[in-house]
Amino acid sequence: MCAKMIYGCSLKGMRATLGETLLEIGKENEKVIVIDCETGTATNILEFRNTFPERFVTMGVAEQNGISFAFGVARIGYIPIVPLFSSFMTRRACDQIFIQVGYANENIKMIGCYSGVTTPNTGATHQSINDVSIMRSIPNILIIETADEIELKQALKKIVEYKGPVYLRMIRGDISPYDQRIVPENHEFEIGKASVLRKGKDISLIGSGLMVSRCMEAAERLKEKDINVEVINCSTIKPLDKDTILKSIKKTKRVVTAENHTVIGGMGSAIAEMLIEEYPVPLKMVGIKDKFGESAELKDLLIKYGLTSDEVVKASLEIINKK
Amino acid sequence: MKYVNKSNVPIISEYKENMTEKDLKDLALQLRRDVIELTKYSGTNSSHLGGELSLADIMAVFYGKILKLDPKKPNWGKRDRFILSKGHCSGLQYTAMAWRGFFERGKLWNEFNRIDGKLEEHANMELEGIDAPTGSLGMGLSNGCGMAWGAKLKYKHKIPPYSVYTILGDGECTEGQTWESIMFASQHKLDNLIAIVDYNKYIISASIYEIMDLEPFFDKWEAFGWYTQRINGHDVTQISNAIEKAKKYETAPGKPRVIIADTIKGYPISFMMEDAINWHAGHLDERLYKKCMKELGLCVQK
Repeated sequence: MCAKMIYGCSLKGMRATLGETLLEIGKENEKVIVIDCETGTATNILEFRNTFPERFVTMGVAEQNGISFAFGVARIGYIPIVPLFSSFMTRRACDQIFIQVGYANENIKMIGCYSGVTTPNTGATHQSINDVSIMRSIPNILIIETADEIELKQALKKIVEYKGPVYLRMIRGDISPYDQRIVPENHEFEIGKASVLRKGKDISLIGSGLMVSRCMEAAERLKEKDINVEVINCSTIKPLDKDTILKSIKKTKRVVTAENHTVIGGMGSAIAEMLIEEYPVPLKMVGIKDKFGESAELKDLLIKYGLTSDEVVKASLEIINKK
Repeated sequence: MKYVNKSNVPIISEYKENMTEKDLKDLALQLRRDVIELTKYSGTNSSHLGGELSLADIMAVFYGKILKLDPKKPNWGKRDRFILSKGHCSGLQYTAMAWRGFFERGKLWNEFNRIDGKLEEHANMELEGIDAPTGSLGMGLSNGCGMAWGAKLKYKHKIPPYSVYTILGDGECTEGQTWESIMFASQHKLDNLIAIVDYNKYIISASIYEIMDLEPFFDKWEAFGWYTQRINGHDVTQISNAIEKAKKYETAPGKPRVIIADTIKGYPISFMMEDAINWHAGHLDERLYKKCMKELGLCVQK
């Protein structure tokens, strides 16, 4: 069993699921190797080390070595999973990822833990606000972010089956109502597929990760104003599921994107870039507005950096009232 | 791809088993001549000649004698792994690969630095026989660690049936990542990992002593837990003996191995050796090309 407490915090949510699922994957597939760079306690992957000591390795605090090492291990036929803080993986080891994961099109699974601004006791240095922008600009790499723990577990298993480079981003954990089930009972995560979580006709709210739950809350609140909202969980950020997204937008003709990430180069940008070529409609992006984060209480961070259902409602009304 | 260029240079060396010292010297001469020829026909008339010429004898010993490989089965699981971490010298590796039969020689004159050509200035995985995409310096020894660690895991409790070789430049020993992997290899007792440093004493803009002195280089590797040898990198017998010693498990169980090879940038072309700073990457015109051939003791082909 995984530890119940980490650094004095109760272990719930995303990182609890990561630790448990890695154990399952390790049992199912003997080719899986886990590579750490000394964030393993915080990311909750050390039970894998305890269970499969031969298939776990820590590099010390050396992310660049970690990614290039993963390339070597993959070339021997193993499947390296590299769960690091996403800030240090995508910023510190960007060149290694560009050349030895993307350019090499190598079968490496990068898990970006502690993504977005939602890491309270660290501040701007550790808050990964541009990992999607960085990874989107590198060819060959799939980018995944799931709406809840259930989908995370499904996605982790799917990316290990998939042959090729993947970046899966997740947050530390247990932000209400993100700790509750967001995807429906019969949901089955599929690489490259977005899912419609709520049907509507007036506006499409497209969220990734944590912000899917905010979109669902916003939809309920907009319903009180007789606005009929469609909510899409964009769990594969690259490549975009153009079919599902375009089908929705051709119906609603309005869109708000919401992400726990800078609005420059993230999921919202990806949607905007696609729509401007395929089907231009009014669009607003909810996310971090080109600024650095800070260390503060989580509830205050969420408000200051605009990661609330209030922001999604506000953006939706601005678009709808434009007409 | 349509091949336009036809080089008429004669074959000096052909592959055979049990290459003698004389055979290896002939091969080194052919690699030097071919990399100059490749530069002449390159889409950009350039390659990284200074470091390619300093490495030619080492490359000849690897492809001529050391590497266990099968050009017909480039992905054979039990092949030796060979990572050219100083990836800017890929042109030289291509000449050795062509010699060994990985692809036809015409590729050398028609696909280097040309649109849709498979011979990139810095090698990538699209060319079968290349074990790692390098060029951004400092990554190759980490790749070697991954392969050596993976091989030890795969052949648990046994000596893996192949070795992992990484060629480093001295310039890239100023990269932090190189030292991350040096520490890792020692910590994890990767005695199936062998690094060779082409110690030509020139980083790009000046001599390495002026820019970032690596000395005492031998002592540094030893202090980091590596079994260390230092040799003349232009003497094929010394190179061969040092690698044969380094690849034997019994030589230093539990220790990774390094060979520091003293070399001269641009060797043996006089105008390059005298002006190594300007021959890190160089362009060859007809006059310089002829001068190179003359200094190698070879006829200029029409």
